[in-house]
Amino acid sequence: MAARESERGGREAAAGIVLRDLRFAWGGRAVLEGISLAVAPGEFVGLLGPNGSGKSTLLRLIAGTLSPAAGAMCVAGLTPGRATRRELARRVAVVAQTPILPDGFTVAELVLLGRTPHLRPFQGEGEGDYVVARRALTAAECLDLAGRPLGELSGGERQRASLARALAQEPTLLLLDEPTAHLDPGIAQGIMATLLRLNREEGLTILASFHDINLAAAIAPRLVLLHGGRIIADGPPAAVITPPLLRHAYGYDARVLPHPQTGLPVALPGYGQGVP
Amino acid sequence: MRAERGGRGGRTWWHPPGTVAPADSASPVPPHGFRPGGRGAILGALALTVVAVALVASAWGSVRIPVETIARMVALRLGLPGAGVATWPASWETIIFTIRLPRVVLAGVVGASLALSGATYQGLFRNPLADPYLIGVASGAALGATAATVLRLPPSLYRYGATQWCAFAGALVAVAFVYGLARVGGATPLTTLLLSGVAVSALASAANSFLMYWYGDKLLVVYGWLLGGFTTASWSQVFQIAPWLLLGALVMVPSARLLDALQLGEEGAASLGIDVERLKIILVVVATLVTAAAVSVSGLIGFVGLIVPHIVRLVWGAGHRLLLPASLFAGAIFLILADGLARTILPIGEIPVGVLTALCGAPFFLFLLRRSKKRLF
Repeated sequence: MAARESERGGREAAAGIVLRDLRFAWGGRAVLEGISLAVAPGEFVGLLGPNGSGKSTLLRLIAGTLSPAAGAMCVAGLTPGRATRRELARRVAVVAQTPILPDGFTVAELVLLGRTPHLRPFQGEGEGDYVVARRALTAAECLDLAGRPLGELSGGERQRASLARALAQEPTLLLLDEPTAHLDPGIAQGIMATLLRLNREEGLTILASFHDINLAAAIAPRLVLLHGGRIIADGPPAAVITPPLLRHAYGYDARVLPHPQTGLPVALPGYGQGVP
Repeated sequence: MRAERGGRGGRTWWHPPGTVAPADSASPVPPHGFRPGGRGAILGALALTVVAVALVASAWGSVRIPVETIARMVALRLGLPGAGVATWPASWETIIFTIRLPRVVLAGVVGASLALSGATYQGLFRNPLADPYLIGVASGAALGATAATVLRLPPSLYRYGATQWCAFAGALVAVAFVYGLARVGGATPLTTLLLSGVAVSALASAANSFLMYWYGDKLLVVYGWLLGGFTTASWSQVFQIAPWLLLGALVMVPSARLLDALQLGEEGAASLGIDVERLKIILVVVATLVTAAAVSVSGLIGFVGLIVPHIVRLVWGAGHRLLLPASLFAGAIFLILADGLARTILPIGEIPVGVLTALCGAPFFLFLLRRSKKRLF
């Protein structure tokens, strides 16, 4: 019990990410090159970049499911590769873009699987785990889904169920890979509101990749733009969502206007020379 | 500096320091939607059914012996209190203890082995078509058995038939080959494992077909073995394979939770802190040993390892903590009944039990499948 308390105390500092000169290659072709990034505990960072720029690879490296070819990294106070998978999973949780979910399981059973890193390999769940699972369902705002089979859920409900499973791991750092990529704007907005609340009210550190530039700008106070496996911009939305950077990274000819309510940048397709 | 922009510093979201846990955290009541208990009751009922079915199947045969007499004979042999004294002819003792009971028990152990391994393979590969023969056990065992027959190895090798030893060894060698071939840079992707299983199986089957063609005079012996059955059942065979089932159950059943987590995909399971590669090799090795042991004494009995786990899943759901032990018992029940029918349904001779398992298992499975609205996986 005392060990758990001291672990909890250490976790406050153990939420951030420090990457130094990270490199990753698939069969000789560099996917990520010279990645240096520091995310402080409690931050909400949005990861932007075109398809193939290395967003997912970077998230996998941080989650420890891939190992870098070179460079140093410290994730939630641990070194992936040196710490055990279980230690890492107790601090870092991942929500995939299209998670694989077993249709025959209920949402509650899925969320209880989030307790796996806190249980010994052959141990069953105890009452404490039910309490945590219930709170995770509440925090992900899907307690009402608990009894539903996963096979019957809509896309948005699947993402909420996955989020609840991730929260049941009691992480200090949450990684999300385009969590709203295939969802309708209203559903995506709802999930983003939940993430923002977890970040602001509970201090959960979040690193999420985004497909939608404007959604990222509206949600994350800090954006990191990847292009060709390198970080080409890092800062507040106004510094990252600019026509030259969007053209360079995405080949996207955009006009950027301030949002009438928030003043945050909004990118719209530009209709300049050569664009119909 | 950046931390100021995010949330409130390094506070963990789950246990905010200085706050009292919310009221609901005091309640140990599981949220609605957790599968109701009763696992123990279901498994207890299944275990009792195994015993009952074994006694009933022992009563079947040309000499009719009442079930309660068999129960008393067994109780007397086991030295249980209240068994009374023997009031039955000595020939009944011989029939039950040297002919019928070893056969019934062997069928039960083989059925349990195949169904448990099948459930494990289906969970491991997240594939409803997986069965214990999937990655080379069947073709390897068949090649081993054929080789033993055509090479005229002595029929008895170390208290065990040469065919049995060669089938066991052939199965293990084939799966070792498959696993080795599928290994790419320290990992064994499940798809690669499946495909290399298909390739190695095809290779072994080709070699097997050639041997059967070349040594046509041995065809009937080999074919009889391939079809599978328990005509040569003996207690020594039971004692040869029961330890493998025990070992397998002691590894596979406690891994149920990890198999549940593996249903989130390999990457999903890894992000939950599971060493997926280690889990895979442990389960493949154990399931292969259990299957190979069963196949070595019974030949290739199809369908049990594929269908029994599906039936259990349709009835009690996909969670492996109930699925694995329930499949073990259901496999025993299924094969004891199938073999009992196989040896008594014809006036003379027997139906190969593998034929019968398909004949009665397939329609029952289709009935369940049509009736159920649940998805299998």
